[in-house]
Amino acid sequence: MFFKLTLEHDVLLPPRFLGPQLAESIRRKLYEDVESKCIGKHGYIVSVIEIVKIGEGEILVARGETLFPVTYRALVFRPVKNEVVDAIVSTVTKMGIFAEVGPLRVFIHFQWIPNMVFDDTANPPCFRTDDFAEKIQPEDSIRIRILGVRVQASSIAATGSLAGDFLGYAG
Amino acid sequence: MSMAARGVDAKKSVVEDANSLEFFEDFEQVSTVPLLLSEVEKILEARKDLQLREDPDAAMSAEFTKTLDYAQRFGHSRSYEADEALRSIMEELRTQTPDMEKRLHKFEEVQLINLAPETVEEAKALIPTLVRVDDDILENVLQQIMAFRSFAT
Repeated sequence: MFFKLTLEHDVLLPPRFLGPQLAESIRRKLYEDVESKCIGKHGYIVSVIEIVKIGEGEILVARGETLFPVTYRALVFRPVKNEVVDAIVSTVTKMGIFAEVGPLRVFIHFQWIPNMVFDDTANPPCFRTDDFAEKIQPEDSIRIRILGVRVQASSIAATGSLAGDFLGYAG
Repeated sequence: MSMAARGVDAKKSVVEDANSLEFFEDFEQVSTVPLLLSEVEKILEARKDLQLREDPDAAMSAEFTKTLDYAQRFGHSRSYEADEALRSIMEELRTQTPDMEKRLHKFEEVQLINLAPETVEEAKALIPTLVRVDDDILENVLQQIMAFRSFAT
């Protein structure tokens, strides 16, 4: 799920930025530092939404830089175990389906794809029912349940399942 | 077990689970707001516009573009006004439900709007914690959400 969160980050600026454009420089540095980053505690920061407060700068004697504590609102993504989400199929292999939920890559192992078999003679390769009535191929929308989430320092990975009522191909 | 060891354990074993409405630390704070995909789309559009104004040549990251595409595909193409109307429907329902147990959790509210189930049965299958909510109340909410679904494909 996507969230709006209040977060804090210390922006470090070298002396050449301490001029009339200071607030602007702090904002740009914040965007550069945190966007597209993963913070283990909350998730993946897709985008900064706004700056709430820039605290008093403190000159770091040893480094010559100035530290500004910044409070900001961010758009964060974090998958939660057992959450149902829509996903876009990226790749289909005999091991299962890889799909994307925004910045998240989800793997659905074939054992969690009920009533379908892998067909590598199809173009593109797909998972399909025996009678060819339904299939799942790249670019399709599917509705899945998140089984497990691994939050690491720089990325989030998840496994998913298509087994369950009202899950599966969604367009 | 020593205090230190337990501290490490507690950090690692935060049981996040949508089926028991348990989320990360900070989730229950008022400032943490789960977002509708249509809201995500508008936030990212605004961020992209800012980037283009500042530096027309700078490309957004691949993840940013993927997320924007995702929100556009699944956000039901709702207007800002429709998002606001849905938010106030949920707000109203909350104030009309004095029983805290039966009140929708903010995660459930957003899941209902994003997944837009068509029946009570589907809603309870996709969001199992809704079993505690009365069918007629849920039915009413689903119909109100459905009224805001765009017919554009």
